[in-house]
Amino acid sequence: MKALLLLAVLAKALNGQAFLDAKVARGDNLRWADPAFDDSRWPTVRERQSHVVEDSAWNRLWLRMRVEIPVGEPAVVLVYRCSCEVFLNGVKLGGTGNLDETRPAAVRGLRAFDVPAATPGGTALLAVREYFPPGRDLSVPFWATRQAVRVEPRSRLLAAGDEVRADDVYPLRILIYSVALGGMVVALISARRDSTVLALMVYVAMALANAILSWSTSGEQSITSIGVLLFIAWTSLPLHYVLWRFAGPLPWSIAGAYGLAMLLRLPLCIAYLLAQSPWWTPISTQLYRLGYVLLLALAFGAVVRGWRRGAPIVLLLAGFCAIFLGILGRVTAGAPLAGRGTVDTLTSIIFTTMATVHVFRETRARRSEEQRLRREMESAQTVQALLLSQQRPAGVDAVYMPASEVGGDFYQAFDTPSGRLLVTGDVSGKGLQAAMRVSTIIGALRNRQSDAPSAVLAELNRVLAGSPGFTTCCCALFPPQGPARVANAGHPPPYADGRELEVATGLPLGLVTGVPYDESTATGSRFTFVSDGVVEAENSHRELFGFDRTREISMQSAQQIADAAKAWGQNDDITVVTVRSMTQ
Amino acid sequence: MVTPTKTKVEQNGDLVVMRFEGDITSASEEAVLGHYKSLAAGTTKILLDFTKVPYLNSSGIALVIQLMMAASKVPQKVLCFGLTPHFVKVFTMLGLARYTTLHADEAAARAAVQ
Repeated sequence: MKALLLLAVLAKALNGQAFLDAKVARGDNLRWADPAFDDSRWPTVRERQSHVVEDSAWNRLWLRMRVEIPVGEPAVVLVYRCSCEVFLNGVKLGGTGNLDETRPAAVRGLRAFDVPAATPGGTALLAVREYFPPGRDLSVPFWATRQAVRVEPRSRLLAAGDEVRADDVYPLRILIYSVALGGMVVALISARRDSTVLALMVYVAMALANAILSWSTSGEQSITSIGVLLFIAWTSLPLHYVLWRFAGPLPWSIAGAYGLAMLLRLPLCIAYLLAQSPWWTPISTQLYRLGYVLLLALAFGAVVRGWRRGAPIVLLLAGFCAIFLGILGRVTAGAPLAGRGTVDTLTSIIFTTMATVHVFRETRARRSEEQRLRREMESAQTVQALLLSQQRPAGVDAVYMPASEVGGDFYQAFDTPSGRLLVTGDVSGKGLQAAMRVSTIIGALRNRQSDAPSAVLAELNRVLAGSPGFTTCCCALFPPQGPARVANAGHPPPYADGRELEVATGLPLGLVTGVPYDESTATGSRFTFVSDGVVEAENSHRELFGFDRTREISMQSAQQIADAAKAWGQNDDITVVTVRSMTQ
Repeated sequence: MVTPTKTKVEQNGDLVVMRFEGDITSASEEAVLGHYKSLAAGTTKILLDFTKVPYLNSSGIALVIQLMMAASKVPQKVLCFGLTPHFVKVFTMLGLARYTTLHADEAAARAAVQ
């Protein structure tokens, strides 16, 4: 609550009259603090009256103004500047920032200096000694200049004894940004692994770092620090990115213009710092303003596009306001490295709060959708397990290891009057669509007209005609007497007593209607059928398990074969079925 | 770790060589069918280069089969080369001889297409 009050005070301070007939002079002379000094020849600056300091380098300035000291109550001088010393009636009240000419400060903060109790009420002479960069306009609207210098009764600001410092708003900012960042990290880890949340997170992280930096350095950060320079130049990048994410896919021309406008900020920023001169500084400043105006226009375009695409309008407007006010402050301030102001901070906090709420709601909706899908998948998994786990005839062993929740492999074994019928196959693709096709296949198998392997495959091919993808399938009939009969539709060939069977193969099911499937005969006491998840298991060196290794272990149990393939590196459903011949 | 598919198309008259690089999976639709659909009219022979394809899963093979079936309707002649021995066996197993021929390298495929 106290922090909120301080934030309001800061806004109020910046919103008031900037100067009350302030006199300004370049140069430096401590005598200028003397109330008796005649400053009538100094030019006057007033709010909304342009007064540009045109000098070739950062320079020392003095401001002198007559202020009213409240009678009979404590008062404070509020100063919002980067580096200055404050004198009241010739007495130094204190200073802020760094007056070292080689390391002028860039990050500003509100400072309050107590008016000595002995100061009589009425008019007093307030003098401010400071450094001021060339090209900066002293009189511009409140949201840009941050040039507030004013005297306020302490009682109107805070309870007696409280310290008025801009630093006091930083804990609130840090708290809000920290909570938002934590929430987004949780969202990113738990459910929303998308680039919009990541960008929001980066934005909030940078805002947090900015607040911590400003707090820890008490506004005395040197602008010669390239790290700070880069930081300020790129702070709003993620915000722009988020806005465009909502706008949807961009034409290359717009994306390029936007990217260029963003990228131009950095060299212009550096150029502004490195080459300050009477002719270059105004040019670089105007270029910088131009880049911002372009950014603003493009950001507006992003809002319109996002609105048309149904993006959350509140978030769009909050983001645009944050950008708009940030840009307005910088464009009107003149210098590209002005610190972040109150309104900027407020909109940033509002945007962060709205973004956090948005991410939270989206995450909750997505998790709810994921839970619904998971329940559906579990249902499908249960159905598939029921279909596959029917009681197997004696002598048939099978292992099924799906690579995802619902796999695309299947097997069915029936004891029929014709003998033992085994059908095993693999539907291309995974998930619910594959599971549906497996269900279709199993349904068709249970209603088959014939036990002949070639007829079974032809019937399945007819049923699957027109479905997406394809299905490999191997069908074998083990009659009580005589060799096994095998028909194959693109499935890995079976193994009999450790050798790979050479069986006629036809096209996978569902590709071409009306194709015939040939039958081959095979003898053996033990047959092994595998899906391509066994032969195409892949290890970390990208080496496939392969047909040879599969053949070598084909006499092992179904579980051992499946385990070996899985240990090699499962990347598809693994199905192994072993069948003992009935003629044994 | 699946590597995305890149496709380079070399057109020389009515002969096109589609050179694939990376794994061919369900994510390769644009790389396989997208590039096939953008081939110039008048293309009658297509060489599919799998030299830099280490792995095709069943969904990826489905895309290749769709390409072959579409080509057979035009009709266009499709030849494959550069497949690893494993996938030569898989292609044979799938009965794709009906739609394509398999060759060890580009020279053999070019010789066969003449």
